[in-house]
Amino acid sequence: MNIRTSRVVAADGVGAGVGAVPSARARRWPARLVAGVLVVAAFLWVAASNDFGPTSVAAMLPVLTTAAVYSVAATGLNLQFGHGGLLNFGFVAFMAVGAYTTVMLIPHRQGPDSSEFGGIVPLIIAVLVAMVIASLLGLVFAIPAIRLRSDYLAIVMIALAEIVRVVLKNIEPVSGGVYGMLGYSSELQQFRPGIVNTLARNINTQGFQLWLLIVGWVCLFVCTIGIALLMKTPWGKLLRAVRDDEDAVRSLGKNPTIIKLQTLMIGGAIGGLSGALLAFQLSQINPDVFMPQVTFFVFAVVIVGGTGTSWGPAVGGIIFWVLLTQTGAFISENVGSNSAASALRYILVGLMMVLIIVFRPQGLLGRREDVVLELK
Amino acid sequence: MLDQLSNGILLGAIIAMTSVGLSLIFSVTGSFNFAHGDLVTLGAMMAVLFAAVLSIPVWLALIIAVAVGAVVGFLLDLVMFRPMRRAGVGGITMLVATLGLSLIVRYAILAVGGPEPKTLPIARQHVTSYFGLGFTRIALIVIVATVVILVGFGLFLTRSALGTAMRAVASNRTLAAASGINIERIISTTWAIGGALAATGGVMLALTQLVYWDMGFQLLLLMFAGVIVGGLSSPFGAMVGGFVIGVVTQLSVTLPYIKDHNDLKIAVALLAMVLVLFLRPQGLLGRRVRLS
Repeated sequence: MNIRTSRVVAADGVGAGVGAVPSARARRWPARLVAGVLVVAAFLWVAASNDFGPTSVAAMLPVLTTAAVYSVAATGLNLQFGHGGLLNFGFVAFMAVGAYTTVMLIPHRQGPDSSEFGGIVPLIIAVLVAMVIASLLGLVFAIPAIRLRSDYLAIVMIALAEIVRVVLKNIEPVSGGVYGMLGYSSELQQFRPGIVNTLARNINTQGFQLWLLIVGWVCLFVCTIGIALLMKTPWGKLLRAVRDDEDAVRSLGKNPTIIKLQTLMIGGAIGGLSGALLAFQLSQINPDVFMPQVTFFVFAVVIVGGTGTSWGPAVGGIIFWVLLTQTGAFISENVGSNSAASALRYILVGLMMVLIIVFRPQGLLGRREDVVLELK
Repeated sequence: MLDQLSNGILLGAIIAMTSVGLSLIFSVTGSFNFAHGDLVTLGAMMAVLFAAVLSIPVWLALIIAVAVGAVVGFLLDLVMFRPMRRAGVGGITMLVATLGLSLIVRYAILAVGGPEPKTLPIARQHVTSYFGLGFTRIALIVIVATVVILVGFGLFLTRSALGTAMRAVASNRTLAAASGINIERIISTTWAIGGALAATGGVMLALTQLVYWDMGFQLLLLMFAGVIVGGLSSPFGAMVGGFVIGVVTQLSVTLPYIKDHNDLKIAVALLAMVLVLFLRPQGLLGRRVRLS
């Protein structure tokens, strides 16, 4: 039943972009080539600023780790916004819930006096629980998503994310308040295999940094491939059909409400995972890590890579973060002042968002017809 | 309790002042402007720049700041939004573009002005009792000025030819164009007035508190709350909504747990907004508008 209906949807052309005809695929190779060249150029840029010396690879690691964390988040947001057309401006809430739940369940210190808290479950279970809780938050987000037009939805979701952040800030016994949580990094690092240390020595870096990178990219590949496979199933085709024409889907007897709800939950779970990764990357968290700006950064990653594509978040993450860190380094060398330098980085992000959404809304890899640009 | 009420009325006046511009631009252009909060900051910073740095008399600096706000609004439309309208971009494109603009304006203010809080060169104020509520004299002036400006603006919208044309464009652009209204001219005028209203709000913030580089963005969600609670289709809605949100925000500080955790008042205000969107999407004063 499921399969048959979605084929009907595809055949009717309702789910635009569902049936990948060979000619459409052929049209996409220039974009892929450009994306590939840009990723290589990004690596070369970092290497060049280290004079192609032995520190080149080591300099790339923190950037690629950040890229992985944000790309995982972008994979979740891309499912909601790119494939599902839901303008979620409050995505950072999933990351906050994911980060806090994970850390709460493993040994850590928190609060003004850094008091010790024992672990409750092993790390892997903690992350899974965090993903479940984040997906339950998706359930809350689904209530406005079903009822409101996308601009109101955007505002409500920012508001919900801010409520989550402000509440985390003010329930000190649970969350450590403004002091947040720290001292949990070893919970991930204790699983680091010896070979990572050896490898790290060979490329002039430290084991924990390389291990973070590996874990981040493994998560990214699993999420990316998982979502890519999911989008090939009847469920994925139905989701894109809901995005393109909700009424047509309803007329075929399918329920768009349920699929939106599932999208917010799955995307939320991935957001929770990215929050856990962010927590380990930062090695301490507090509520102000999860300001609304983070959502906008994740949005920028989605938009740069290509809204509604499988590999867009990964490509976008690398290019976005190399651009950001390299220009940041360039500015602080030439402008001097660090606060002005970091401000200029944000200006660059804003400029990128405006230019890309206006001139190339499909980003590097996307197709214009896959990007929802009208309010619905 | 009474202290919080007077704080709430002051906050409400500022939210009302700033959210009227937001609601005006939304109703005429059909797009929420996420950069509105940063235009508010810009107004406050301009007031500080002219009064404290360039040593111009405060009253004149405030007027110049409002004029700069109008010019900035007009220029934004000219270089950014008009070309986008010409290209026929969709609502989500507009929304993301204003989001990008808000990052640009906010961090440009930070890069130029630095992170330190700033003040206007005005004497320290003492709290006096008016009608049983304690206000500083400046706070009282700000509240009265807000009411006067907003009532004047309401009259402008309903009585003047330009205001009527703006409301016509807001309610039906095609019909307005058919009856000979120059749509583009009305929209660019709207941006100028919206910019001026934002700067006026910023000036009032500068008069009553320290000026920070991200103060407008902090206030943006409360402005949205004011607009949504008041109702989008009514010119007076944003004004009433702003006052309601201001008072609700400050009065919530007297609630048991929030008393010791003042930050939570923002959560209460935002929750109020979300509830209004569900229970009465047209707002307190608005007529039923289409929500999908």
